[in-house]
Amino acid sequence: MGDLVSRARRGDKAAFEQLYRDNAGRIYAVCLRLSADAGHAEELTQDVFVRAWQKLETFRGDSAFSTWLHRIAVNTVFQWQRSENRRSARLAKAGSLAATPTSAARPALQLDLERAIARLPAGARSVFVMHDIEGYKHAEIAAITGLAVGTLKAQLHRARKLLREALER
Amino acid sequence: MNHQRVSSLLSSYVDGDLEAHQVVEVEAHLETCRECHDEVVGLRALAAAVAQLPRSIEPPTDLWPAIDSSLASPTVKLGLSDQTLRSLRFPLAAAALALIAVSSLVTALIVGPGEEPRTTSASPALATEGVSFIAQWRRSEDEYLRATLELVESLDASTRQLAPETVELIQQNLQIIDAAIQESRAALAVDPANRDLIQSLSSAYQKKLEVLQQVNGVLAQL
Repeated sequence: MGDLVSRARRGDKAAFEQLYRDNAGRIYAVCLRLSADAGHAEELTQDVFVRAWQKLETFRGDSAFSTWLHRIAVNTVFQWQRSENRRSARLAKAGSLAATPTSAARPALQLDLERAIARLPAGARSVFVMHDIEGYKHAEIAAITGLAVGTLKAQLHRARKLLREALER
Repeated sequence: MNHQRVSSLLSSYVDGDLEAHQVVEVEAHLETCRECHDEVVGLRALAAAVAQLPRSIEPPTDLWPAIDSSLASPTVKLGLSDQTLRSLRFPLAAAALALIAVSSLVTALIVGPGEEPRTTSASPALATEGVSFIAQWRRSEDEYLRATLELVESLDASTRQLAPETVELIQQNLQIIDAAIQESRAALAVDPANRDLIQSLSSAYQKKLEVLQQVNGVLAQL
């Protein structure tokens, strides 16, 4: 277990802040892509780190801290997505992904792809982000989402098809 | 394998998830089907583009202040929250020694010399009858109060290093316990040999001791 994590487990907030600095980008990215909304991604990222702080006692070092944190992020976003009210809000605001300040410095192709991902149907987007971007295996996604592997593969196939069509326009 | 069936397998084919015999059949179809061939090319181009996406995107604003404020909301309870305790920073070497002495005294009061330990809840703090017991209790109580005072003074000396809300929380918790102590002491002044009152006072002392021990235990790990 790293020194920062050990110190954070003992309640050292300065150490936890450094863990935030080291991991915020990675966590914000997955929250942003799964939620497809910059504002919600910020809230979700905050939630992830608050939950991580509360759960630090349970982190045993069996995996890397970043992996453990990433799993908390994915679970946090999926819990959020299951909330019907928030889902409605998300749909209303979908498409604000491109408004993030970090977008300006990125190649046009990447931005087109990010926008196309953000516009995917929620289910297809989640599977695509988890599998193709974050590298989760079908079985892992099935365990998190509760969906059958066959369903996930169909969603992934659909997501890729829609993305190809969007990028070819 | 027909076109529709192959088309449904192309994602898995690109991922390398197909069985060997399926790969053979798909590749045989690709040699003759322009549409499926183009789809494979498109899927591979998409995979290449996705691989170029950044895995990290910095939040547009610094989220740490909001996170920090959420972390700094300790639960108010009789004992100090772990989070608050962890934020304590004050030299406690001398106080820790006093704490050990106090712990021994209270244990002696509860257990009694030469007796097997009894649970606090099942017995009054001091079960021994008679005047000698009262005298022993008062001597031990004096030593307990003196040692506890040292601990509280150490805490007071450290307040400059603590966040104001942390100091306030500590004071609130200690005041709750001190109020219970004062109440029991006032009742004992009227009825000095009342075992129930002594048990109640001992219990309040024990709670205060537990708070300070909690502080000491956390600090020992820093």
